[in-house]
Amino acid sequence: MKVKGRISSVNLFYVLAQTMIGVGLLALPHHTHHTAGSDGWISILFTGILIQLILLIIWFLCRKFPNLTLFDFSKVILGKMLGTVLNFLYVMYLLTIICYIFIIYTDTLKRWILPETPGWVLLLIFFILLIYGSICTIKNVISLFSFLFLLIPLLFLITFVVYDDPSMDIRYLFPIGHNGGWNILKGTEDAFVSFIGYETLLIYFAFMKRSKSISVLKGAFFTILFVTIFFMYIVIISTMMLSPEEMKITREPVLYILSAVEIRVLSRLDLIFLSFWGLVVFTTIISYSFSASIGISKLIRIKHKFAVMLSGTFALIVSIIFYYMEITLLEEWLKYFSLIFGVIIPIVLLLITIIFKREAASTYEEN
Amino acid sequence: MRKTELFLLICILLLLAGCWDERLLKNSRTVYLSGFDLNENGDYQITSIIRDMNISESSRGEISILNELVTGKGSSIKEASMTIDRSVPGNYDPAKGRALILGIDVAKGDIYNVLDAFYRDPRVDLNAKIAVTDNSANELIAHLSENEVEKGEYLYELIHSSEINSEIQNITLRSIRTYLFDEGKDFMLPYLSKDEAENEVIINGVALFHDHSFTGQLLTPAESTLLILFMEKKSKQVLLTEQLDKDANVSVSYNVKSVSRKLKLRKEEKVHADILLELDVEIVDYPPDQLNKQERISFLEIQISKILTEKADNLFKKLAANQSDILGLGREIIAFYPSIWEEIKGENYYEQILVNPKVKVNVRSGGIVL
Repeated sequence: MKVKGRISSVNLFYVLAQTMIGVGLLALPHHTHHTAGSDGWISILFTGILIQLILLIIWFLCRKFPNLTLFDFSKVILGKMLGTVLNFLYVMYLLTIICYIFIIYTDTLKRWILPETPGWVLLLIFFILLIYGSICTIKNVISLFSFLFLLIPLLFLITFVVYDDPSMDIRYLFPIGHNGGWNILKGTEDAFVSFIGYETLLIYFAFMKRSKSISVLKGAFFTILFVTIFFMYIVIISTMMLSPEEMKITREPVLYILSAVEIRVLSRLDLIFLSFWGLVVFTTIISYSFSASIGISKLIRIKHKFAVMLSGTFALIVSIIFYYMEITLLEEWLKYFSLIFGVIIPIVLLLITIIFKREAASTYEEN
Repeated sequence: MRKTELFLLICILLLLAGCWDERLLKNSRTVYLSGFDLNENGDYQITSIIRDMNISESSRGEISILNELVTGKGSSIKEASMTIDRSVPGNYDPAKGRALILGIDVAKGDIYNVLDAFYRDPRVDLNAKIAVTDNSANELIAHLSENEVEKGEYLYELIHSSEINSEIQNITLRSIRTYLFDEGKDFMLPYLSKDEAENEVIINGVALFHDHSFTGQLLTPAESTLLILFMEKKSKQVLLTEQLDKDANVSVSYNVKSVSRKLKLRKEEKVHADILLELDVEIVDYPPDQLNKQERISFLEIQISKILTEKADNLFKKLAANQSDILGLGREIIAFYPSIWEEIKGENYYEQILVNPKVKVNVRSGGIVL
């Protein structure tokens, strides 16, 4: 079944960037510092390069099946039975990520600005926004995303005021690489989770115009480049502002730094950053739920509208359970899940495609 | 469709956050200034000034401001503030304090014990200034003249203006944490004392810190200015005066326009740090004048350079005696000479560093006259 609606590579840039820049941003410097120390930004760079390679794999895979999403071509590659299982797993994976974002987002908001508000109220608001954002066609998603993309340069701008701080010290970045190559490589493991979102390409590539040409790749390539640079910038600026021991005990370095910045009329820049960041996280949630709903609607043959409702409800219930039971497993799981679903499965699918010469045409003979 | 949209909107309206987290100004007792003391049996004492604003309805909404001095004791900072909370009507809210004053006993101990509670609260104003006082903080706050309405702001501005004149290091509640957790850097805080005659509070120099506590050594404002020049952290204005000739009472005042520092580290028996400081200055007060002559200018340059180098020598001796690494040489070594750091690292690494300062002054201008 071919998907309807076409997007250009510029549109893909917006969608993918918004999907990738999300909930991990605030704690990213803290996480990379955990293993890679002051060389966290090198880990980010490595991860960025790694993801470019994975992008190539995904592209090779998707260009064999123009205008088909993962949920369609998995059946072509693996057969009906296994394909359905894989689709189900992917849907579950995407929904897990939504739950994870819900929980982290609630937790951060509660700790920083809304300590008295009950968690379920925040989750309910996210749920409503999720449904509102995802009941639409790809065209609507893109117009929303390209508008909200404005906020990302704004986040950039807000961080500029930090340079005024006299306690900033570039020496915290040195000596470069003294944590050892192994630790830096291990740091990519922590950084990797922040980059998740690129696997939605398995779905979005299907919407591309002229999906066989190289220009498709260009859009995704520049997105990952942009995201890598953005993350590196955030990590570098946080490393320069906080001493190494301090970074270990600061959960959201970005917010912490901004909360101390005062410019003439504003004394709490972190709150402004937090509200912009909230919208950026929202686009991530919408992107995931949109992709998950495509999967659900194909899996059990319901309309997109109902699929969105279903995925939203699932995410709401699971995240409320996890939130109130204080289960923190999700973060651990996600590390492995992202590796399995973002790296291993695409590679396996590509190998099968090449070895057994599966092609899109084989399905269309039936129709 | 329209109906469902409306329904959704109403749902969101009902759920608008903020109802839980609203904090009314009328209920909270905002603190603008807090002081911390440690008494003999290890209890902390907080002294705060709470400002009350009364908008009287009888006299056309005229606002009258009342300052209330409150104190509370407890074995931790949070317990002490709970004691205050019980004694005042409304919520005691220390988050917006503009200035924190550490009593001498607190400063000599681990000051992080006092500050920890602040970093755990997201609402705290991390831009607050911190100062050390020569006695108990309680006394100093009580002493602050009664007619000064905005006490917190008063102290904040007092400290801030010294910062602009590069007399003290620019330290806020946020940046002090960076220094506290940095193994290769120390800091200095403004040292406040009472001025009995003027019934005011003055900055009496800076207090040198080592690790987490006050060393007991003070620097005069002139010394700390020189130290800030060595750190290359000068603010807008740096005015210094040197006496050239004691008998004839000739002195020169100059404003430092730009600073450049060259730092060389070499490892012999100890680590030698050769620092060459080049200052571009503008003469702002020099009655003998004759600055149109080149030899006069070079004479001044040599004289001032000599005096400053001597002063710097004394200054670094003081720092070495107290092991206070304000310059951050430890961090410099960590960053650029990690092998040297491996040899000297530890609590008292500064013993291993010998600083050899040299100052070179270039007179660049003399105002609008020659």
